[in-house]
Amino acid sequence: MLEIKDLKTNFNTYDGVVKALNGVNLTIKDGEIFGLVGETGSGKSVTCYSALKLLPKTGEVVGGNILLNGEDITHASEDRLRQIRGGEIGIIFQDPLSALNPVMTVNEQIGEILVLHQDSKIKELASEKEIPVYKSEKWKASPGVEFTIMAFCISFISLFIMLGQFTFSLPFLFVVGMMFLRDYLQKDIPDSALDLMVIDALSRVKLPNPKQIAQSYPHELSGGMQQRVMIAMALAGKAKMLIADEPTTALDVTIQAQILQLIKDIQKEENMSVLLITHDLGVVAETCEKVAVMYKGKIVEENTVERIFRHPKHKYTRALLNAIPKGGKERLKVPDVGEMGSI
Amino acid sequence: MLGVTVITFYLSYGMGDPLAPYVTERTTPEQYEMLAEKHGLNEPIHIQYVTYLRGVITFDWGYSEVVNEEVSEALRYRFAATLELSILAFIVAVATAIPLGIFSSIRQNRWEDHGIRLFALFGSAIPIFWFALFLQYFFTLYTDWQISLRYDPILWEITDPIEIKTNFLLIDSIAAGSWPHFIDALKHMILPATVLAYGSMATIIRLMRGNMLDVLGQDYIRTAKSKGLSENQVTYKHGAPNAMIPTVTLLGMGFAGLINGSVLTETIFTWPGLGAWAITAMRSLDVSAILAYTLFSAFLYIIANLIVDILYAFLDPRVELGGHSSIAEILVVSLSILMLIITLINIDAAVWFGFLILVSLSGLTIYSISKRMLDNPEDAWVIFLFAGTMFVVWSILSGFFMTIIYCTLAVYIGYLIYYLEDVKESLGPKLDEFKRASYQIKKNPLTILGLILVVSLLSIALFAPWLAPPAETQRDPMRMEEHFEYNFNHQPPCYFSCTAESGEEDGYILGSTDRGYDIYYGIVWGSRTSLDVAVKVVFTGTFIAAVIGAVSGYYGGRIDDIVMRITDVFIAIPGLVLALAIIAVTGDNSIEMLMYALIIVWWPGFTRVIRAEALRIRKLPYIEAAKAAGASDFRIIFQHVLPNCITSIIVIATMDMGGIVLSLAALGFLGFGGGPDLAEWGKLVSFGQDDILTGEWWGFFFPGLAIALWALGFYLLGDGVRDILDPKQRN
Amino acid sequence: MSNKILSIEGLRKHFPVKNVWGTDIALVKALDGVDLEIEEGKTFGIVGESGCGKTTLMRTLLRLVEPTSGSVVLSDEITQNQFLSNNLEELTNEELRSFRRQIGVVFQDPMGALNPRMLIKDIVSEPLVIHGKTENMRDRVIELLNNVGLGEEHLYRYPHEFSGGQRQRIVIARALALEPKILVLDEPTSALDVSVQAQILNLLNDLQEKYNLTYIFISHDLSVIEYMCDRLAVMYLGRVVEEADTEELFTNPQHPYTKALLSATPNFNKDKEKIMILGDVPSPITYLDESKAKLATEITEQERLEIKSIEGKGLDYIVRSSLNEVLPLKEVGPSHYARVK
Repeated sequence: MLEIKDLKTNFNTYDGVVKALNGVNLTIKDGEIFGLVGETGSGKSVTCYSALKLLPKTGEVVGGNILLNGEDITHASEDRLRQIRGGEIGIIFQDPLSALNPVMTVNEQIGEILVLHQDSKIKELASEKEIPVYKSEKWKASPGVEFTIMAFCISFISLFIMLGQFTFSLPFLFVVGMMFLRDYLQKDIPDSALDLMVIDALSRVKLPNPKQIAQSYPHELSGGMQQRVMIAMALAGKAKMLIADEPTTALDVTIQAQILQLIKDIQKEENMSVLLITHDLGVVAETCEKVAVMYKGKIVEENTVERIFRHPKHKYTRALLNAIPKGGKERLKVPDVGEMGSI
Repeated sequence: MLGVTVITFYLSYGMGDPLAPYVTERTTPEQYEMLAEKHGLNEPIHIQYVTYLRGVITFDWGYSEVVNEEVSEALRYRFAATLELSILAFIVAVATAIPLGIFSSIRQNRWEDHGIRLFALFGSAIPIFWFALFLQYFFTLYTDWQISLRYDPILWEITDPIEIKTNFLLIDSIAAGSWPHFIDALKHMILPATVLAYGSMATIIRLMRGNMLDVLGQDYIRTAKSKGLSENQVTYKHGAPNAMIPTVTLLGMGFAGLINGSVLTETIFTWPGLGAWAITAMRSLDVSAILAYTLFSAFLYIIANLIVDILYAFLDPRVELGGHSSIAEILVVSLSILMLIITLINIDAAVWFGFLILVSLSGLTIYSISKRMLDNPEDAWVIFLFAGTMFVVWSILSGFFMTIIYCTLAVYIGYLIYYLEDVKESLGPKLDEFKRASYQIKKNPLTILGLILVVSLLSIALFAPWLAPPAETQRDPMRMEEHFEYNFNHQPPCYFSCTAESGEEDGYILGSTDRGYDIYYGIVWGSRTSLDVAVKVVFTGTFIAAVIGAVSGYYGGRIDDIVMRITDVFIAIPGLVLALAIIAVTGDNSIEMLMYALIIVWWPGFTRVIRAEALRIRKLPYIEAAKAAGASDFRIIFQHVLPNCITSIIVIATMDMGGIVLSLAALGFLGFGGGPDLAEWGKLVSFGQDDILTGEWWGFFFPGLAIALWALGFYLLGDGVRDILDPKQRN
Repeated sequence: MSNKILSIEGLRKHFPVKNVWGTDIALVKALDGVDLEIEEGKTFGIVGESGCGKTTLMRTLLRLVEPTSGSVVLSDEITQNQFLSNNLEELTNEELRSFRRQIGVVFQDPMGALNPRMLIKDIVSEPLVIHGKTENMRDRVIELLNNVGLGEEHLYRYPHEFSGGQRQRIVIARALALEPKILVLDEPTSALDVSVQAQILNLLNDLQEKYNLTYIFISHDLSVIEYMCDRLAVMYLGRVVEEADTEELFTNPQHPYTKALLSATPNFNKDKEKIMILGDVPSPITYLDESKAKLATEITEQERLEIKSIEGKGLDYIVRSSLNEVLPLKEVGPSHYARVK
């Protein structure tokens, strides 16, 4: 599915060039859940951002190849990359609240990705059911624009009345009146094809009342629901691969268990590939089939989960496993000060 | 709003004889008594206040002798003129500034960005009156476009009168269907509107750029990219709406800025608006007109902010309307409204009612503060702190200032010597900081430019006696000398070389004004005036603000409420207007008075910023940690809160060094602050303004350039300092 | 059985929620009747999800917030019979200062807990300055830094020059400056990597042995809690739902929430029995209006949906709404209490 060969990424900072990735090799096969573990700064997130060219301005891919289904996308055009993002690879981020746009409703945010990657399907659905394609309500701009119009009209009305010229306020009154009337007239128009697709996407991630959730803003949902919305969004474009960047770090343990279960279920249903990036070895052990351990911009060990936890080969992996408290009170085997690599 | 009326009333009360406009030489004492009786001046002060209040809410705002009409009547049609201009300017400003700001942010640190930033900085740094004069000069002399420079009502009132319905020229002409009128109105408006728009445009560009950069670094922008949206879609669909939210909240301020600017613009273009009217009134001490104008500006500001508040709640789904108000606030507001209603019905009852409210409110305040003091006796230092602040402010203003600076310096050096070991070792990290700072300055050419400007202007001020030695006959070097020998017959001001009556030729490096002042001398010594005023105002303002802001922000609660309401009252009146009113009302046209007026105008803004910082900092864990370790509030404020505010304090203080000189020059331009011979830049510009139509450009050009360079230098430096100290840039 | 050093009795903290008119419409019951006894020289763990009241409990213990009712009773160990009252809420300012000398605190986010404009030397010595112990301060600070594995060369540095683990060491050094008897640790390792976490945990264990410290260890990470704590309380919605010695609690959990929590923690043992909690974390807001007051105990829509999706997968589950019923705490084993029927 996704193959990364000898990937190298640098960051230009005040202190000079920082080599974030020193030749990363990864192969993710169809339909497997692949775990990528490492500590802060080991380059696990940078790997996935480099693969999709989502690096911040200071970052730069300086070497290596990225193959998606055998196609080399290292030097793909921006258009092709945009087809891939969302369309072939969906991404979930760590903190769902900050990763969702606070001023757009769930409906708008998911609708956007559907229009980008599932346009033909929406149109098909629309012609099949004879419903409008995108908007169920005509004459509706974004709330900000609507309100600005409203505010202008009302200020002008009050202004002209203050100046004693009622006749001049009539056109503005008309506009305001139409805006109120419009909502009343458009009450019974059925959902558009896009709305239906959004609701469908939301119910796939087991959200109750998808219609109501589609109308709400991200901050009105709980953390678990927000992450479900994120997942729904990543899947909406019918991506064949999901990259989950620390999807449960910001969540409570019990909610984490639910979200991981959801990812596993969906992976099974759709036979997707999942790349799970996390620092939590426990999460990897529970969810993944294969796992790679990253350290200082390199992959130090890669194997099946069973093997890596039973018989770690690399000394860093061993040290990492030893550092986790696992019941019992014996002293954890780490150096008292300094970094893990010094073992 | 009530607070504003208290201020205006207090101003009017302190103004000396409110009957002055009515009194002529022939007024007998009996007549005077009668007049006093008629205007209720013999009543005690609180009754007068309530009577005044009643007048205000029934739109009986008194009669203006000077312009010879009812104030409320004058307000009505002049307001329409000002509003028309302001709205036009506002639309132009918003419509151009927001796209420019967005564009600048997506091209961050490329040449487009630098260009737009410089353009914006010029907008804030150029004195508005100078820009107006420059445009006038340019369009009269170098184009033959018939853009009328000064408003003339001939077409409207004499040659071809059309029905005036709304007093909005554009709308009236449309209503009358008269194309020539429309074109004429547009021609009259285009220059003043451009001038007005440029200033606020600059502010909006900077705001929008900053907010946009903030937003573009957010996680949801990355999400949007990961969906496969194009750059443009990401910027305009996800970035811009989020960046608009904080921008919109400051548009209310922007509107107040327009009112400020309209005072100057209207005076120059003789636009028949409120601003020009107010200046006329102030020059002739027309009490009711000045007060009405002050009140009206405050009223407008409050309305604008109300609209912005609603807009904010609408734009940002996370905010709920009115969610932040408390019982106390609602109580005060409803009591005020009740008070106003009772005022309409019965004055006596209202007096008693108002008295009751005042007593209970102050009782509540005293109770809550004293309760706090009794509960935590160690908090009493707050009172001492305020007393100390007052002392320092007094000492700064009373020339005690340098002594204080020397004392502080001595104490500091003593401290350094005492802890020499410590200081030596802690120098290392400080040196690193310094290296990093100089590295960043080197990277940013604009900051270097600012630094050069500031240093050269400061050295001009420092070396003034050598650069422009005063004549031996001069008593005070700050006062310019008139060179009447070149100007007996009111000949036009001369440039470079003048021929005196005696036939002697004399050179002026930068020319002279029509009163024979040497512009070069004025500019050099004017830098001292600017420096003096700016430093004193900034120091005092910062000091008051740092103490009050930090205390109020850190404690929050009741104390914070009270402080914020007080600053609200001051902020509600546009700064220039308030300063003008204070000067006009005290009738003291000296530079010192102007300084006090500027301090009164500037401290609330400072206080707000520092309070906001303190509010942010007090929620941080290290404050909690210090509390848990048993640190006193005093220690927390001075050891933890203030040092972490220092970044923003330095940045604002630097910026305001420029801003204050702009205000000073504006006031000087209008003829306030010191006598006409005081070396002051704004005043020099005003001397030159009458000659521009005949082509004598140097009279306004050079002093204005000095102001602009000064402001630009400090703004650039402030921007640079912010970039260097911004902790976000460290990583 | 060692002595108890601190006990918490019926502690409640309710934050009012106001409507537009400024009247209270609801209460956030951050703490709703917590009783705990903390033994000297041991580590007492408090575990729960976000919003369960752990942090409020810590703040109340340090008297950074005043409780609504209930009290924290100090032992004679702390008061040394010199205080007028043993109740934390009734201490005078002077007594409070002396109490603060006995209790240190370590926060979750080490960067935020250090003033970015102070040198390490000033940060660590700050408690000493506040309490007027300024003689030999430099030596004392160096000793403290050595204790936590840092050295003299770090004295004149700013916090941003250190790594996360080092910063947490500095915070610990500061907390130990006044030789406290109790150390409150609020999620001390949750912002750190596993390896650094292990170092900090080892350090904490060493320090406890060396100074006979009592730890109150707050965390959401069960593996850390299991490793560190001698006794443990599980909190849910402002109440303690189960309290027992660590081993007993991990081997024999009684309350359904505890069971689910234990099984939800990611583990290497794949064959372990899984119990999912379905539904979302309920908000701790209680409306004063009676009609909205009760937390519904019937199954919600989302839970029903999730039950449907989970059935037939061989997973056990409980639903959130079943946890809303408040049962009295009763003894289910030797010093093992739980809110079960």
